[in-house]
Amino acid sequence: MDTDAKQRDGKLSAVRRRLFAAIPVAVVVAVFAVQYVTAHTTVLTPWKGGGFGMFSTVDQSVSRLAMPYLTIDGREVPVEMPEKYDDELRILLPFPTPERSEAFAEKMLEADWVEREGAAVAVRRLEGVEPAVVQRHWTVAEDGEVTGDPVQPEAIRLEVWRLEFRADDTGGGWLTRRKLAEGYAERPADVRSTGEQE
Amino acid sequence: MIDDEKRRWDAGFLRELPATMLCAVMVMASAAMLADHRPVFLVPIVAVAAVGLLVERCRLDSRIWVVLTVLMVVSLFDGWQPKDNHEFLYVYLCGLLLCVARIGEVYTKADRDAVLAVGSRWMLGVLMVAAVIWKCSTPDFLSGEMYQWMLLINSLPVDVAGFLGLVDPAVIADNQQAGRFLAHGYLSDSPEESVLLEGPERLRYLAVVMAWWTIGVEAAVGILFLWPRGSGKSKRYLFHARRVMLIFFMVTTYLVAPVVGFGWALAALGLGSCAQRPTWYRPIFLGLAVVFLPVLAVVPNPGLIW
Repeated sequence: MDTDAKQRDGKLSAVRRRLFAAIPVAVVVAVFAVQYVTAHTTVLTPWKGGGFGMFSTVDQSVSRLAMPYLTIDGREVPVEMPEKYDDELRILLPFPTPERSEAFAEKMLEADWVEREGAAVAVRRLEGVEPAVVQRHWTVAEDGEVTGDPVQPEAIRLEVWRLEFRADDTGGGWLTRRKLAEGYAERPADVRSTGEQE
Repeated sequence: MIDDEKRRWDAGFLRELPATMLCAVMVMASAAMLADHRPVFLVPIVAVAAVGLLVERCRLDSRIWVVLTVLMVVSLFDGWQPKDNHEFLYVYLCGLLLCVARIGEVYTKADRDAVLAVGSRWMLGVLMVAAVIWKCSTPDFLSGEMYQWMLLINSLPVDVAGFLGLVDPAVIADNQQAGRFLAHGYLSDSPEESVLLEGPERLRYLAVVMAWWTIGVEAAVGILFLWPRGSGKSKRYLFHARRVMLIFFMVTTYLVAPVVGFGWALAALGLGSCAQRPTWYRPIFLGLAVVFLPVLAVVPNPGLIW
């Protein structure tokens, strides 16, 4: 075969061309296999992780719920998730293992909290941003001015839930939440007493 | 004569289109990736892709694809959990174009085009089959409940049920309120763990049809692109069937759910699959990418246009 013919038809055999083409495709298959197994054996949502499971189930990041509970004066109170944690939640919710949930709860415990009208809320540490006020109510949280005394929660429990939908005979159905994971962080007793003295 | 025609096609603006397309996608998708990728990675990704987009010699150089692939991989695994599947797909595409560019440097253009065509074809087939495996192994998809839930709370990008007049907007609003109660009810004294979503029975049938339609179209694309090439007439039919089915999938799917980032990646793969053969499918994929998908993304509710 002369040089021109080689340029036109190529130097590689069909088998070698396929071998080269198979390299990136093998990566796709490997990532799919890992993601498929991980999503079936852990709390990873099928929508994420590169396995092409999007639009396959109700269980996606936006249908997962994070519910924090503060322990204050020995009593556990539910609080709205402060907006400050929106970015971190986007990372936690697709894959909320107990370890990651616990780490998240520990991070929340480090924040400054204040009590207002019976509700404890996290104070935003960002400069120039008004702290979020969260009512103990099921309506959507609104921003506003924070007044009230600082609170040091003794512990924070973070529950992560997912939504499931079961259709009934009417055309509608039941939307149910089921617990996926829980993280718990407790303030050490010596730190708690120091804070009280201050 | 035919060879002359082919050469004209290859010398035209459509030459090296998959690489050009991917560079353009990287630049255009930067806004979409902004939420998930840190600027320390995103800025160099966009800069390198922009150089590739503007300078043809650069986008055929394997070194630019090494840099892009490494940057994309590092950025992807820097908090991979919230990242969408098409962001993984960009990495796979960069990897494929890296292989292709290197082969072009070491071997010939014919070898490079062949690897690009086969790699694009297989990648399209594998990702469609993966999507079908996921859907077929998820009970709430097979039963239509996934789409039914989306229709009941109108969480699809396009209000299909409203467009077809199947659900009263007030019912949707009530269902959305019920969903909010489920999410925030734990703050109240009487938290509920279940709420009832209401909808007409016809919605259930629509959801089941949508589910099986999706499986059918995705499976058809996957099987066609993975089917051995054959020879003679069957080879020609298969060539057209693959592209027509992919275009059909893109048009019908993205009318309902215009996920532009994924559509761009599919268009780039569609172009790549035509690398060995000058064909009108190339401008069609290009048109889908630069006109159809962006228009769908900009128009708030394209279902209402028609």
